[in-house]
Amino acid sequence: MATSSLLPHSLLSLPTASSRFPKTSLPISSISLSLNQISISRSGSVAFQPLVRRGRDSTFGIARAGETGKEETPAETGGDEGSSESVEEESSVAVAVEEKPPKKPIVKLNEIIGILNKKFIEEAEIIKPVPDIRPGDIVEIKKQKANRRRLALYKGIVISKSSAGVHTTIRIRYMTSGTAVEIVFPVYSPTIKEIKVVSHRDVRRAKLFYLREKLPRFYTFKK
Amino acid sequence: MAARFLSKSSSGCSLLGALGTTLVGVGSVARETTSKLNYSDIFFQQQRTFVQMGTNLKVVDNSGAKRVMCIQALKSKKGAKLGDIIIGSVKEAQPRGKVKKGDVVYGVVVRAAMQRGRCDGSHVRFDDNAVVVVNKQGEPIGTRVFGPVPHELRKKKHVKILALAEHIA
Repeated sequence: MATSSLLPHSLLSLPTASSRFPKTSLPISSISLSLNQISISRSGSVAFQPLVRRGRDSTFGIARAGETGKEETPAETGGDEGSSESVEEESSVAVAVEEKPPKKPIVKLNEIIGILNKKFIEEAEIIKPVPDIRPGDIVEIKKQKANRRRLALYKGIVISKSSAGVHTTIRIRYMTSGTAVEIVFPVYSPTIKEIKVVSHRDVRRAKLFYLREKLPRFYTFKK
Repeated sequence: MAARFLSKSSSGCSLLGALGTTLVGVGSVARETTSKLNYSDIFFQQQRTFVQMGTNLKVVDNSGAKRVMCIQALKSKKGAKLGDIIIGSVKEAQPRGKVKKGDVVYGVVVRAAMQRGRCDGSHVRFDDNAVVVVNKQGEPIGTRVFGPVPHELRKKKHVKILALAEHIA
C-alpha cells in the first residue's frame, strides 16, 4: 500500500522536474523511478540506497524526490537526508508487512541450455510421443520428405544413440538392394512423423559398430 | 578386412560418430588415421574422407565399366562428396560395353562411405563408394542403375539417375 501511495506523489513530482530539465531526460528519469520502486518492493531495505546514490546527478535528484513523495527541488537533496530516510524506513516497514511476491528462482547461466532443451523436448513430445529407444531395437521410422506427400519408411536396427537434449540422434543401419545404409535421425525433429519399436535384439553393447563387419543378414529386415 | 582389424585406429572425433572428416588435418589420408588421442581401443572406426584422386569406385550402371579410378574431383579442392561429379579413368570394364578400359569418363558419386549431412540434421552414409557414368551434360550413359541412391541427387539435378534407381535412400 505504501508503495502505491508513493506512486501518485512521484507522478506529481515529475512535472516540476520537467520544468527544470529538458523533456529528453524524462524517459530516463521515469525508467530510473520505476527501477527504484521495484528495488524497494523487492528488498524493502535501506541498504539499496548506496547503489542508487551512485547514479547520475540529474536522475538521482528526481528519483529521490519520487521516493520521498515530497515535492522538493533537486537542489535541496543534501539537506533532506534525514527526513527522507525516515520516510523510506516507513515505506520499507510497510512493504515488509504486506505480502511479498514469491521469489523467482534465479536462473544460473550454466542451467539455461538444460532448461531450453527440456522446453523444446516437451513441445516436441506433445506433437509426437517418442518411445524409449535403446541400441539393439529394431525400429520403423516414418519421415516426411520435402515436397512429397507420402512418408518415407525406414526399418532398421539402432546401432547407436547419442543423447544431446533436443538433438538426440539414433543411427539406423539397414540393407537395401545389396548395399548397407546407415542413417542418423534426430529423434525430436518435426520431419520424423512416427517412430515405432518393432522388436528388440539382445546386445551387450551401447554402440553396435561391430555389425559393420558382420554378415548382412544381421541387419536385413523385411519391410 | 584383416588389415582393418589389425590397425586399431580411433578417430579423434569418435565421441560423436556424426562429425565428418573436418577434424582430420591431413587431406591425403584416405582411409585410416593414426590416433592422436586414444579415447578407447574398442573404437575400430575408420575416418572416412572425400572421394579424391586415386579413389577406386564401383560402377553401378550397365555402361560397361566395372571399376573407375578418380583422377579429378570437380568443384572441390578437398574431394568429391555424395552427389558430386568426378572425372575418372576406367580401370576394369566388361568386354562388350559402351566404355572400354582406359577411357576417361565423367561420373556422379551415388554412394559414398563418407557421411553427407542433410539440412534437417540427419546424415546418410553407405558402405561402399559407387559411381554412375555420365556424359558431360550429366545424363547417364547406361540404362539401368543398381542399388540405392540418395535423394541428394535431386538437388544436384541428376533427375534421370533418380528415375532409373531401384531404391532411393
